[in-house]
Amino acid sequence: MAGTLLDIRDLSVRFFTYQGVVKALEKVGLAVSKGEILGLVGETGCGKSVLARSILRLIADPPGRITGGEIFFKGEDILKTSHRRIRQIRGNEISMIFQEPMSSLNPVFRVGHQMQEVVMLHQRVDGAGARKVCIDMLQQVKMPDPEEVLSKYPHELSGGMRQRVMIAMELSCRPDLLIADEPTTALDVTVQAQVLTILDDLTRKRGVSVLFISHDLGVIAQICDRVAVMYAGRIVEIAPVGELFSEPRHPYTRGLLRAIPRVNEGRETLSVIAGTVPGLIDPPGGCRFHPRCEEVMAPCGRDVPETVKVTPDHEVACHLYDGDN
Amino acid sequence: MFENFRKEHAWQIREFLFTLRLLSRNPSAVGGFAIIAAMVLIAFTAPYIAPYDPIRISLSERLSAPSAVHLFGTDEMGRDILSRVMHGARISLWIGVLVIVIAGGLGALIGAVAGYLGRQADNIIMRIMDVILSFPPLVLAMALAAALGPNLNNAIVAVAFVMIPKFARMVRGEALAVKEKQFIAAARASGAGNMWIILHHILPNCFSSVIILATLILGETILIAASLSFIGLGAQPPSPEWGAMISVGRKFLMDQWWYPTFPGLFILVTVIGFNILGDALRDIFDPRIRR
Amino acid sequence: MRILTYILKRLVYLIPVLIGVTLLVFVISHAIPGDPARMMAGQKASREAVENLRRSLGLDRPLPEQYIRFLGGLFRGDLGMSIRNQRPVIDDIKDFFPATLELTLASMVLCIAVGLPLGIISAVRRNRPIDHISRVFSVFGVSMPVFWLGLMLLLLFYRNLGWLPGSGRLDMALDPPVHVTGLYLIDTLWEGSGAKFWNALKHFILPAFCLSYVYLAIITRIVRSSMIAVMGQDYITTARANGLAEAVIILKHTLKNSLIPTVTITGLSIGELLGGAILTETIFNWPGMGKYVVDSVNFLDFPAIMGFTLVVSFAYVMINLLVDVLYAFLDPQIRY
Repeated sequence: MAGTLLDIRDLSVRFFTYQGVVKALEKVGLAVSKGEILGLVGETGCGKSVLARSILRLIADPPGRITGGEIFFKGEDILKTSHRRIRQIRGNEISMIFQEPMSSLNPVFRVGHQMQEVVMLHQRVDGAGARKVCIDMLQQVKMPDPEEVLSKYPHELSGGMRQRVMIAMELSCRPDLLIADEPTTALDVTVQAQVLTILDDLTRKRGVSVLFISHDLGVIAQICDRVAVMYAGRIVEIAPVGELFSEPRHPYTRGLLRAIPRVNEGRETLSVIAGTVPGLIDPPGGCRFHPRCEEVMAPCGRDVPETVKVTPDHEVACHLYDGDN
Repeated sequence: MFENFRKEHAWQIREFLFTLRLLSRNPSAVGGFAIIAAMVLIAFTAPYIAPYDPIRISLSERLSAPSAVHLFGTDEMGRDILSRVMHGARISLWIGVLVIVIAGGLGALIGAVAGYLGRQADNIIMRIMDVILSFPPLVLAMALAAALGPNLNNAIVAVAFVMIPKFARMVRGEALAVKEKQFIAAARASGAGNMWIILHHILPNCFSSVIILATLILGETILIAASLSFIGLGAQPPSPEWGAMISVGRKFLMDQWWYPTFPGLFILVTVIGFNILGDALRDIFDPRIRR
Repeated sequence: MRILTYILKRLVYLIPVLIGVTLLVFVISHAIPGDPARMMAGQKASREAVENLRRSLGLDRPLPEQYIRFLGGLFRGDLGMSIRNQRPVIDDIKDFFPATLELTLASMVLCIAVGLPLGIISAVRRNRPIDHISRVFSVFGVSMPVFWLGLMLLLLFYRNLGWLPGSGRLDMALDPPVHVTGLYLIDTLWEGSGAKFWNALKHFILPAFCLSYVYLAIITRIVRSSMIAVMGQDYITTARANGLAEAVIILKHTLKNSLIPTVTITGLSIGELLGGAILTETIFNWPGMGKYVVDSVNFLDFPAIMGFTLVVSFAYVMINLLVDVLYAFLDPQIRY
């Protein structure tokens, strides 16, 4: 498809542990178009981070292994390319920022050193040139006094500043895709807003596509163009952000949205989705959500639901939408 | 009555059984335990199953090589080395247990007091512990044993003294953590005195860590005790203590290789047993793995 | 400069510890034995000699006063008189120190040169054959009775294979080299006597290996476990996600972080090496401080034993201070 940057097809990932085989991702499919911000939302443990790391082949083997599927990036299946090629892509064409800014930077090297290292690795510049790039990037993320920051150690910076450094570092080589794995979750609310704005501005300005992962629907609503909802290792719904919030189709998505407490509703009790998230060593058969689903039907426990397009850009994986509509 | 005990300590019993299950799955733990069990067995049954009396002198058989008659050969007085090594297990294990009980008991108490009382008391006590730890263990044990006089009991005291700070440090750390917990405040609020709290609340919570440390230290203890005997400061010949046997056997190394070899082998195996078990215990009790 | 403050703080902390060390040695040498004067004079001395010694050393004065005298002696470098050799203990120690230093230094170098790479490989190839081998090696290492290992090495390499000599620093027939550093390996080279150098080296191998075996195992273990701990950290994932080569990630990013616990243990090990030297030197007849003190023990040469203890623990404390300072250079979080 024209305009598709990243195309994940039938991705399956398993972890082979003492307790059993964890079926972390089961035939996951999603696509990120050029210039768009795709949100990936789901509860803790649903596989969002595994998905993110699989893209750059960061899954530790053992115990994890990518057991099936393809990931097409600019036409290439990057799951099958050489190690040298994937190293070329990492930090350069696809970049990633992580959840914990407090521990994402190496404490024994100065910030400037770490940033320059990445730039010099991927671009044909010397130390001075790399330094210029870094200062420029730090200015873009609205860092006060970029030159000073370069000579500091990570522990001398606050969480918000460190995350901005991460953003600067990961965007310094002008990647086509940025994977942001819960970038604001570990930050204070006020800092969160700052970082989100920076992220939003910078990526749109440079035409960088973003895969934005979060469990926070509010943050997703703020920044994303489209949203994919994940449950227990499977994608259950993908839709443009407005439509997801106004017309959620999958019972899980509906439950999620209902669970967000709203100030103006007169409700006494919080709405919850009954049951708990299943363990992935022995997940429920058929649709993994069926034990908790309010609209469960006969085929749900038996057959895995196919992904169906209810509108041209809204897809759901649910038996409710199988034959009928 | 047993039923009451079961109910009161149900949680601890369950924890204990859970730990045993984890241990039985861990090959190192099983291996280490097997070795130790074998040594303990040998130690207990030596007087009954050793082929010869360890002090039976038979000059006609002196310094004979390992054979069907004497599996480990004989020493310079014709004594059967296998029997002596078996009796040596009694001594070494006895030393180990005594040292651990003394050092562990005193060390844990000191550490608990330091951790619980905090501030000045903690400072002073830990400084003293630091001073003791400023000596390489063998060197300090040696000096102490020399000052007290070269015999086994003094060696035990010396080694115990050297080991006290290790227990003290560990228990102090645990005490610092435990004392912040709610039930301590509750106990204090109901009028419990410091000593009572330390004995009934702080120490029991450190129990499992003390056990793990004790297992690891047992190995080191046996090594230091044997080293002291080797130098001449612990068990004295003709005691069949392993280190003492090696000390004498050293003279005969070139022509009667069996003499110092077998006792040392037993030291090695025993200490390996304690170390493997201790490592496995430590891994199992690591909170990250316990889930 | 926070690093200076840090060093000063460590120094200040050091002083009570050093005082404590002297106090402990004092207590052991003056307060514990039944009759310190008898201990210092030796078992064979006459009663008159013991009384004379008691008066001249002030052993009949109250304990606190004795301690002050003791400290005073220390400042002057007076560690008492060796019963065996009838000379100041400090002179004895000065004589035997170089041999021990040479052995200890070489062992340390061996430990690091082998332990560091082995630990790294073990961590990187976790749970593969090389890891299992090195872990077995580690367990044997920390469980090994050093004196027994020495005997077994002698049995194999000296008696059975005949490859290496069994005692001393140099063949009996050869004269020691010119005394420049006291370290034979250096002095023989300085002198230009190649044959002597080889001879010294051959004498060196077994004791050095024996001494370093235990600490090699310990260092391998600590390098392995700290590398594994660091490799699980987020910043290593970041480095990998940025496309850095595996070798760079391991040798630069991971290793530097692993060095901190490694350096600590290495420092502690040096102190223990001093203790282990006691046993190794005895087995190999290596004329160092270790053998000196064991001979002293056999003779119940009390002042010598105490002098040795004091010197060794002082060295241990100083080394730990050095380690702490090194720490500050390795961990920026301490400096800034």
